[in-house]
Amino acid sequence: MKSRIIKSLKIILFVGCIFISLGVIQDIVCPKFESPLGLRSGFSDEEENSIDVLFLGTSNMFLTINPVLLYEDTGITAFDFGSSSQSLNMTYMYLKEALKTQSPEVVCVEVLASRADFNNELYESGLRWGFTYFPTNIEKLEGIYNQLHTIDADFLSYIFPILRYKDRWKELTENDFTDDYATYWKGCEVSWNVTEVEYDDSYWEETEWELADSNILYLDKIRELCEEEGIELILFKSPTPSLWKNIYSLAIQEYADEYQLPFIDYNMKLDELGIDVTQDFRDAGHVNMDGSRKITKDFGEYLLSNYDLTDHRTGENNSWDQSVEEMDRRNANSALNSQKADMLSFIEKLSDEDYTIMFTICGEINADMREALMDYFEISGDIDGCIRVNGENVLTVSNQVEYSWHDTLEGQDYAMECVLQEADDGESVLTADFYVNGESCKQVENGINIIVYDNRLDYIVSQAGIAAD
Amino acid sequence: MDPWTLFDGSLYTWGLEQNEFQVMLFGIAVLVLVDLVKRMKGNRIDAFLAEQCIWFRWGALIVLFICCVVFGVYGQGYDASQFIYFQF
Repeated sequence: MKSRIIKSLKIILFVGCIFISLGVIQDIVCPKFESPLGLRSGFSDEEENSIDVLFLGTSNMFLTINPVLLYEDTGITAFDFGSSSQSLNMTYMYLKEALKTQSPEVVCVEVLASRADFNNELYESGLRWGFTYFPTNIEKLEGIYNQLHTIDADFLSYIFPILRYKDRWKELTENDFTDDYATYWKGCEVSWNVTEVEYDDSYWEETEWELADSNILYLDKIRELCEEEGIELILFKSPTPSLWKNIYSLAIQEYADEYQLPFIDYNMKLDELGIDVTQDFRDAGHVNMDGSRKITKDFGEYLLSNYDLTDHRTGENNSWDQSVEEMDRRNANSALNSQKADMLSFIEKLSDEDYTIMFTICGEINADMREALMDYFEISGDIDGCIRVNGENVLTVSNQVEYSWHDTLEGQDYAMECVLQEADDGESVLTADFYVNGESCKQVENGINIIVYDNRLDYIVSQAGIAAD
Repeated sequence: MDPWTLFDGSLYTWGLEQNEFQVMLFGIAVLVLVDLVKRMKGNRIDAFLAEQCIWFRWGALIVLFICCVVFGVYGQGYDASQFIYFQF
């Protein structure tokens, strides 16, 4: 009897080891989707019951509503919990998952998915984006079955994505082993691309159209679940000149009227919000950062005026405060980088103490520029290179001698070197260069090269170079 | 055949990419190892594994299982009827 128990335990342990090993390998071979899916953007890391407004839906939702800007404007804690090309069946699954750890007061569903019967059509990319990183639980199994309506090898491949993505072993990169996708954007995606779009006649054409039964089914399920949990439900549509038509909005409006739900159609509010079809779109299906800013501001005002939501900007430094801080810092870094063509004003703006700054001078440079560098780096005398970490010079090099500096910053390998090299005319010349993880970052051969690294956010803010001649 | 083609990378244009080639070499090495075990120990590989400690045994089985899952040819895009033996 005892040996039988031990044998059974061994079998269970062995099967457990196999599943754990498969899980590790699966995490490595699964594609690291670039589009920010709520599941890969730190949703599970959010403190329990900290989200007051939950946004659900497709990329139309997470490119339109920016929770960080919303918090900065209103103090409302929100999260974009969506995935690209998500069907309403999946939206319902995401809502159920979210309610396990959060108790939002308002849920906002973007309704692009209601334009076709996506709950029954197999659009593999959308399904993979939505299911791959979803935790394996009963909601996921139900969601997959409701999408595929069968249990077969394909069904299994959604539960064990390694079966679908095993062939990626040939194309693995370092990112597949060190993937850490949690971002400060609270599930949203930002884009600065600009495309001019147009609402053509087909958008406004008046034909007979009805919501598919499956979409009504899942809208009903979402609505009923919100009612059970005492959550206010808002339906909204982001501006989408392609993929969407006014007749779809009319059908959603009819549904919303039937159940006394608010429906906000931003396609009808372009003029009111000053959304410019030549500037505020990433492509014909999504707004860019400028469009998102305008809509998020309007949505925030709507939420504040219609719901009793708490302003969480109390100075306790919650994760939304940290996101706003990071967003501001990244914006400041971008502004700094955009000025690198004007080296003098660029140097004047390097006062942040959380930077690591490296520069080398090769050849003769402008006297004003040299003076500005000496002043900024608080160096007297002639120098050819300097490294400044957190406001203190850790290395200064003068008289064009050979040198080598090497350090590791936040896991990245940084080096600055100056070596004697033989030039084309046979003479030996000193050549300085920077290396980040072994890659040369030099911008000009002869002149000033400068690298600015953000120690706090762990990335290179700017690589600038100005030629001596 | 120019023997230099074995070393200049053109080998990888004949149907197996470099990483696939390396997996094939690994597979051949495992087969040779199994044969060596049989010759030197006089045991089949399963009997040899059964004599080893539990950690070695489990480790070897798990590695073999994972290799089959990852490097196995099956799933989407694989057509069993295209297997070379079916063409004769």
